[in-house]
Amino acid sequence: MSELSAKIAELLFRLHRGDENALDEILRLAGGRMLALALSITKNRADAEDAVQTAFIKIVQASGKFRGGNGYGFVMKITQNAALDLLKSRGRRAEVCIDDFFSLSSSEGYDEENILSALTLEQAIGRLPVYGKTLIYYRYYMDMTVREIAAKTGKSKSQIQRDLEETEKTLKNLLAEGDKRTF
Amino acid sequence: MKKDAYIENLMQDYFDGTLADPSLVLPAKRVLAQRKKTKRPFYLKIGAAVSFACVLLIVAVSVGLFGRNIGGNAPESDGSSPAAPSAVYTAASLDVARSDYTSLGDLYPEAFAPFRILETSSHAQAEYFAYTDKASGDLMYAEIRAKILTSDGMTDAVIRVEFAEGATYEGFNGYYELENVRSFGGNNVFYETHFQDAEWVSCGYFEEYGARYFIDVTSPDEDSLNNLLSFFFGRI
Repeated sequence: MSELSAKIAELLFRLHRGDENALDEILRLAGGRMLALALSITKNRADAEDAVQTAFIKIVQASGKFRGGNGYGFVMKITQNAALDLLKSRGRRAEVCIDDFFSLSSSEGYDEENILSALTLEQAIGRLPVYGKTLIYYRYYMDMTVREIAAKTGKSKSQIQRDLEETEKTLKNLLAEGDKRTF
Repeated sequence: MKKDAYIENLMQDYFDGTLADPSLVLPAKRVLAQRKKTKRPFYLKIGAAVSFACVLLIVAVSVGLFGRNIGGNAPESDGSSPAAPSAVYTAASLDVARSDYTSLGDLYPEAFAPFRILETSSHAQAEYFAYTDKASGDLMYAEIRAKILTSDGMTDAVIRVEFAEGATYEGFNGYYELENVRSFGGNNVFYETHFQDAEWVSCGYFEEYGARYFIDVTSPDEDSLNNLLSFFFGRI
């Protein structure tokens, strides 16, 4: 379990006890990721914000059912469902491909000061094969452990570990190339 | 295997660029405030005998929390919910580290003996975590995350085995409110089962071998809690 998951787990317990500040802390730690996930699904800033607002309400309502463990996964699952439900209520189908999760820089309201570095990251990830992008999504977007990724993909833990190391190395090389290009 | 710190920092900045507005939590704060206003205190269970020296009786106030009964037998109830230890400790007081069956079994052989099957079965795999008190280094509880392949599909189970004397982890408070109870090998197992997102989700609590066992199971099989108890403890 990552430090982020453990921190959010603690905040969910505090939330269940009625601590309003826990919501602000969850927003600070995971709000960007929640909004990123919602944007990738809804492809629309207003809808994504609606989905994240709904997700926070559902997190308050469900905090009593949280039994410990991966707090981040708990929060992101609720966000994903909120975004999908919103699309359904609007009569729209969710059509999400892996590249949608790495297209935030072109989304409405993205921080202009960070657009350049975001583009560099997106371009580097864009040059990975689909499998590599998927590994980056699982590991860094969804904070999944090697074991969870192995269970999801049906591959062995050692294979996932090797593939992740290879992908991370490739990504860093691509990022270094990207940095040189901006100069 | 840890995440690459450089990539992790880049990704965090990437996500933060979405500029999630603080106002996104305002509707949730209103719901939380409303919930605090309407929260009812605990009530004594009507018609039940009370012994404050031994038993705390709790009435469930959340409608829809408690689902159907597990297994083919009607639930038995002696009119009591499990007794919670008087003190509570928080996550802030704990260190967590990966562990293994051998290390945990050396500390508490009897309490962990039921999980030896996870090490020998070709249909199961498990991860172990040890939660220790930061001040004393004592093992407060262990967490076992298991995946068991059955004829109905994959069962995910999280079992926490708590040894802290006179105190319980705050995250376990909900288990002491479970009302359904059935007999299991001479012990009472308190449990709840419901259908969610196309799966059966069960949770259970019981005490044995000087430890408190908290179990969460997600499975395509509605009898998964019963089956899990049989799998580990060899009896029903």
